[in-house]
Amino acid sequence: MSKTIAAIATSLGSGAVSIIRLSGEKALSIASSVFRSKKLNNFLAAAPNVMYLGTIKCDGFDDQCLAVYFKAPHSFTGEDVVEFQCHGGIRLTEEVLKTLLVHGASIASRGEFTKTAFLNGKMSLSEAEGIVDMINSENIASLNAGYRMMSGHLNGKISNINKIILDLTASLEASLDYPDEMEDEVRGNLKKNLKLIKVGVDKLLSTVKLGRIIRNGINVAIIGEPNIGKSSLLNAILGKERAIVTDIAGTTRDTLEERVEIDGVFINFIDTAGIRETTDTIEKIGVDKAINSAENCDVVLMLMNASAPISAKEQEILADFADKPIIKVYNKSDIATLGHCIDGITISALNNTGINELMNLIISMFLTGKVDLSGDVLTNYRHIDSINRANESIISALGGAEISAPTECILIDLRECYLALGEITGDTASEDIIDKIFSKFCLGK
Amino acid sequence: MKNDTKYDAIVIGAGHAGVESSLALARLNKSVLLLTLSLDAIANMACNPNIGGTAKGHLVREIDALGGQMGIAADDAMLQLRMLNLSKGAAVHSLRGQEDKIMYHLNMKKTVELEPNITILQGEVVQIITDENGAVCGIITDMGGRYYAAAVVIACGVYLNSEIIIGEWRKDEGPSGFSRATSLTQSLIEHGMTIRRFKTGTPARVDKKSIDFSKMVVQSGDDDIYPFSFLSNSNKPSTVDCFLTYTNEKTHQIIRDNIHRSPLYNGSIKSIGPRYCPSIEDKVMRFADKDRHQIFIEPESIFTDEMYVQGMSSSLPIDVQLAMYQSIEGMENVNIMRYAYAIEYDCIDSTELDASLMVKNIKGLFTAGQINGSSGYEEAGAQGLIAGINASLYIDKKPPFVLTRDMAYIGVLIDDLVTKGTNEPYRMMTARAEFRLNLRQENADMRLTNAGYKIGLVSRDRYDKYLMKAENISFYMNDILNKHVQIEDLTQFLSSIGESIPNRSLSYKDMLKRATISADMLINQFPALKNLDLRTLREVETMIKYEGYLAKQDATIAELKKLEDRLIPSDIDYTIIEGLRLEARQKLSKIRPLNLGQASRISGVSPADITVLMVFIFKK
Repeated sequence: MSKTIAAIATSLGSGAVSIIRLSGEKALSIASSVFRSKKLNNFLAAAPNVMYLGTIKCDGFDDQCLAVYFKAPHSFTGEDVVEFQCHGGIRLTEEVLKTLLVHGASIASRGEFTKTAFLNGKMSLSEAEGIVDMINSENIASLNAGYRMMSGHLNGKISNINKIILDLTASLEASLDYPDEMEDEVRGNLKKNLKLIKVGVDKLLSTVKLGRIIRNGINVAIIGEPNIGKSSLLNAILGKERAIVTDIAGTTRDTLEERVEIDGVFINFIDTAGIRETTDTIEKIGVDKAINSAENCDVVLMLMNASAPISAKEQEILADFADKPIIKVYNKSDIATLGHCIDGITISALNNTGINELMNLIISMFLTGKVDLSGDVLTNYRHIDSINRANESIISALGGAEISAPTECILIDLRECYLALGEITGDTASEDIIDKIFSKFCLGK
Repeated sequence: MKNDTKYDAIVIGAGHAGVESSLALARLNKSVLLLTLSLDAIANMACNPNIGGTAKGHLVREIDALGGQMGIAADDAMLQLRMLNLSKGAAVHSLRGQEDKIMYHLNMKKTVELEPNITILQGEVVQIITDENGAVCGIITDMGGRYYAAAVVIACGVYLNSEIIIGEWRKDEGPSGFSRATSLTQSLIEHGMTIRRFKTGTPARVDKKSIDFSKMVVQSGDDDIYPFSFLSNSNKPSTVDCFLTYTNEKTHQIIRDNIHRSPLYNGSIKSIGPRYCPSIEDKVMRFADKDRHQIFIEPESIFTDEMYVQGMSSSLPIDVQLAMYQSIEGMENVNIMRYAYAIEYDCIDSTELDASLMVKNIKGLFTAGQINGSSGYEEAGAQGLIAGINASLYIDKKPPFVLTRDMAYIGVLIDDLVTKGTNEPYRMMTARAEFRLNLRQENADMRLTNAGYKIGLVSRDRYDKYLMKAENISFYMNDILNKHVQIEDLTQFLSSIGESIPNRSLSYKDMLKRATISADMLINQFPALKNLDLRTLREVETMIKYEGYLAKQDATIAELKKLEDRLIPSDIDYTIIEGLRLEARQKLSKIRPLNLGQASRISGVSPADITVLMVFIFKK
């Protein structure tokens, strides 16, 4: 049985309606497990080419949508196809897609629908040419510096996991191909090693934040006490009057987000309300939001006064965010710069000095890995799908080890896991394994 | 009057590839001229006295299932039989036979002599001749003989410009003291082929009488094992023993002290040797932390006292060899009869072949065995068989016979060679077969005999056996084993073997799903199964135990098939395809894959390249 694939068919984030397409042998059964229509007891009984109104059940919410079933071979791909038309918007559309993936669909790779259509002899010439365009544009995208940097980071993480898999696989394979020379101790450490791999895959999984970095950029929160110049800093960075700047403490009540692009990486600066004890209800909401932004961002810019000693409140805020990547920024150097500023960066938002230095520092934190991007680099569904499949395989391998399944069976899952992760890094199984076997063990007669 | 110089096909070389090629051609009613440098070297086992082993045993079973000769010959000359990996799953169970080399050679020689379509001639081929279209049309021998044929199979082994190397000493010679071929390489170069230089080696042969076996561990054969050929009905008892001993610190010291005299280490051997067949000096230097290495002493033949010293291949000078052999327990007084040597030889770049093993640029010219960069008797035999079949199909102007990776180890072997190529002598390993669970030695007949029958190599007798087995498998699987066992019988049986007792009745199939319950146990326990064929029942047991994993593999195979079914036009010009990366264009132009599946396995060709290619083909 071949796999069932899913993807968002409309362009993401634009338009009032999004179409999510599901194609493959399990299309109907996956649809029936997530979609309910009053007209039907079960979507399995759906008539082809008929539009059904109903609800799709996602994690935490239901959305009203339309669903239509195209029966193979009379569909775009030539397989069974179900299309959902649901409300537009990135979040919602992604949630619907995620639901389908959870219920057993695999994410379609770029052009895979068209490819499937081609394989089933259902594709038109213009669509065929579309694939080539897409591949060409993907190649161009991959030339982007930011993209390269981030995927390099992810590749490093995955390579570490694949190294463990490769070591284990080589040992197991060697025990099969060289029974005379290899002792059977390999099986003894099997579970321990599989668990090690599982931990690595879990780490990748747990930090999956969909598409955030490449689509949305790195989040940098500017925090500090009121009237320290946070909004002035944002304006200095943007080079325009975006935030309302006054000398009244507490002017910024809500958080304000602005994006700049540096070296191909988007950085979102989040200007926040000054943090102080307050009885003003609206300001209180702003302060809470500020703290929340800081907690959820990738880097905290702690803005302080270069011309005054660090206050008790500032000490408190610094302590609260001790476990986050934090840059101490001392503003108002135009007034004075005290000695303690040496542990941070000194700027003057007013005179626009030190801003470039600050930007370079943020970028370098990413380049040198001081900011952990391991989760955030998982930007596209293809990567997420690969990691999900790697996870399934390693779970299956662990299950096999639990019931003492034969080595050659466990190796099927291990190889799957390696290949799934290799789809991201470009690792391929066969020669890697053979090379490892002979570099690791003394084999042969 | 019979024209003596014209044949349907010419096979150059009568080693393991050459005999399979010529027998296949002859059995497919082609007249064959089989040329060999020496009639005494027909099917010569130049290295170890074994047939089979992991993955190699699978190849032999596949050769046999297709109607080849190696399995039958190995059974006839067998001294000892073992089943490796019995503690592991059925897919990696591997047969290995200790063979009587002399008997094997004589049996095989007799077999080709008895084949009426084969003419055997001793002589060296010096030139391949082609016609005005560049297709092969014959050969010329060193004595000036000209022989014509529409197809030529080169299966010349390691004899091309080979050199024997022992320490500082070198000799222009083939293996085992046979003479070498000095002109064919040049002819291949003139035909535009790429020549490479590989290296391999073999250990010393020692005098049995000079060994103290009491200091070694006896390695006996297994009983109750079916031999290689599916035609054999009975088990063959093992009649001889092998012996296990070990190298020690003294051996390693001798090697370390003399490593500067090793041609492998002082740079006088530059060609590429196989990693899986390291010399003892390689093992000691590369794996310095190992304090000993296994050494197996194996008989070469019942007609001689020569013993093969498995694990001690070397190219060190003879004084060092003698010292290190004599440092081993039980070999203190050993007499070396033939010294270990390294051999360098010319071979071709196998990516210049298509999947039928025909040279892409020379129609009608096939190559098989070590000339393709492989190593091993079994790898050679498998290629020889396929080259022979395809040479015959070529003569008949029929499409080639190509086994895919999911069908056979032979398919994996040839696909690896022609698609990926090899940078060292290529050895078959089960790790190379991604669909290993399906490719069991025990079901080689189920996978291939029907194909062999269609080709015309499989006898009626073999085919009937296959049909009977297929019918039995289906009957056991879908009928008998689905029957439920009486609850009291079940309870009694399960408790007797300490298995948990379910609260419902179980079928035989349900029981076989459990890891601890075997076909043998059931057949002994339940009278209803008493008359079943145990060998077939074991095979069905494997299918049941592997069920979930086999389904997983089938899903992967189905994906692959979609790509394999997309053929690439043979006249495609990769240089004009927009969107292909440069590396992909170069690799694809060189390999010229038959279909998208093969294209996807070429290193340097990415999935995106495959999509571009697919679209291009579609648009055409």
